Amino acid sequence: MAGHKIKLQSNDGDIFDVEVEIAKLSITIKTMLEDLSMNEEEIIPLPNINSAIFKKVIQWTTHHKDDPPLPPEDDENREKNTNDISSWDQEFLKVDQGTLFELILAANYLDIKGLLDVTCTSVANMIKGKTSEEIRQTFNIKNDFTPQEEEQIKKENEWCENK
Amino acid sequence: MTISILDLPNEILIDIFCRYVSIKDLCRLKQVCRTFYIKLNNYTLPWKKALTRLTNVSFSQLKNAAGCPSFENIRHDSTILSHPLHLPADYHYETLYDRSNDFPHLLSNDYRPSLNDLNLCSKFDCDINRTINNYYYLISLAYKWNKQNNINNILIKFIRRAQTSLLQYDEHNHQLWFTFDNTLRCLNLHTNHIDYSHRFNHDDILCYKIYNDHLICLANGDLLRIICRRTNEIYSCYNNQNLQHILPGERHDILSLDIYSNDKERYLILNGSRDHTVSMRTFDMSRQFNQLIWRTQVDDRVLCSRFTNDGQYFLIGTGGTSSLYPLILFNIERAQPIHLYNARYRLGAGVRCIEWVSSNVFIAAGFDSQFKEFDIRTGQCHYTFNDEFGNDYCSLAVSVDNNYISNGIILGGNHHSTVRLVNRTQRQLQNVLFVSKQSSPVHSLAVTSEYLFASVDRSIVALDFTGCNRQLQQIHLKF
Repeated sequence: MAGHKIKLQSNDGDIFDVEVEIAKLSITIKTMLEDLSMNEEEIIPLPNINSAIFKKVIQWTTHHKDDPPLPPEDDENREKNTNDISSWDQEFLKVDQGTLFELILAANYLDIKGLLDVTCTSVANMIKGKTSEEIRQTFNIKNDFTPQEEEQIKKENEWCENK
Repeated sequence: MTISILDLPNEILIDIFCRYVSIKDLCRLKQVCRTFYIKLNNYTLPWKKALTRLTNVSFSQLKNAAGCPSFENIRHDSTILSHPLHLPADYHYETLYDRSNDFPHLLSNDYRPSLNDLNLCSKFDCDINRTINNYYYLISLAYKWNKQNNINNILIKFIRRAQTSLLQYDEHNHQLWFTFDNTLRCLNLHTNHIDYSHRFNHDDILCYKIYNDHLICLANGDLLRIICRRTNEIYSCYNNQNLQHILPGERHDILSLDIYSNDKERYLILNGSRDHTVSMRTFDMSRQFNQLIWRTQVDDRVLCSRFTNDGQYFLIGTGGTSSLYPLILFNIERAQPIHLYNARYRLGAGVRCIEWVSSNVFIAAGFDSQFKEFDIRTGQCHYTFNDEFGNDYCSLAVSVDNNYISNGIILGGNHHSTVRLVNRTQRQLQNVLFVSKQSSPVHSLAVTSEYLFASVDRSIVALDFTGCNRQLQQIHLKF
């Protein structure tokens, strides 16, 4: 089966030839191929993903195709205790914020757990240790509290600030 | 047009918030904008995760530590919170942690924010209603508790005073024994008359055991009472010559006991206590004399204790907050454990009830979502039943009759008044029964060949298995 390819189409019309092994890292595509027994020649449309993002996704899955599958998560027991990202992934994720969020949405839609993991961790790392104002700056979020509300919310969250 | 963080779907945003973000980060996120504020108020998972990391305990352990001291027979309307003390009469409080030890001191700052949608209270108990089940408060408190460096920190637990019945079925005489407030009673299921009733004024009845027609042992708070039924004499054994104090103000309540005898002359009485001790006594029927044989200390509260079938050994289950081995086997002769069951217990899962299925096989359940089956001959857990929706079991019964619940295991949950029937041979959850409209723990269960009795809140519910339509009827205690 190695080298066997399928055709995937992004929402702006481009068609990509992707190795089945790599495409199957996406649980969504895997399900389509297996459960719906789609014809091999058929073009599978991916209506939620544009070409630029899909290229990134293919780049990531190609690099990670031989990774061992992630262990199933246990809600309480197993707590991921690092936010480490491998250096290849760090390099890969040196993109603008818009692209990063689109990658998250694509990973979510295609159900690629590893990619979703690394992109979400990357966003979490952008939040860690920042003040509220810094978070607003980082993500370009408008402060939509009234001054009174802001004062009150500040007060109710004081307990965690004064260590 | 590029998308922003606010365009991400809820579940992804919450997922991001769960990723090794500290409580401090979460508080700051809340202050960023309305969207984040609302999401962090609505979803508890990020707080739960952050708290778990902070205190480095599993959540079941926290639940164990916070929610249990009087779990056996007090309704679950309790929580930990800081609170000015204007309590209704049927509530009482318990100080769980107090640096200054100088009660009553309250937190200098009350960090409870004004609540918009939860203001359903009457004046009388509003503060309690508002704070119960609010993770945010509990977390801010647990956080402070954890720091332990502020002199004003106190944790108080509020408990609604309502003693729920503890049940035991005596199959020889077809009698259902139950407690009702401070009274032990016995209902004859043939005649529907009360055969026995005795009031104990000293304290709550925390556990008891009826042994044939001869002996009753009963824990009346920290007092062990031995009642000889022939003479109706009551002997009180003071258990509080304690080895050491665990915490100042800690009670020495007896939480579990069991009796064994093979000649109806000499009785062995085993009891486990909140002060982490296990004691072995004998009672001599002809001399009417009781004696402490030995006493030892284990690493946690002793929540249940059972003799083996031959009376040579016994099992205890502990709270398990500090060790991964909450289930321990002892030889009756020596004050030392002879076997710790290694069954991959989580820290804090604990063993709250043990029930024998046959003379060699027993089942244990605790504060987590599992029950485990062990074989005493191998000393191993050979089966674990995991029910993701059940958790925090507070009672357990086993039916070996060939009736509707044939060979079943019956689990009483601590939430939502649920009783679960598990078929032991098929290893399958057979039925979930809601035995009360109110959400109350099912404290105690008893099975006869016709009925399943479950005690909830202020009543005993009987499920009738005789007719094909399983009627659920409530027997109100009007005695």
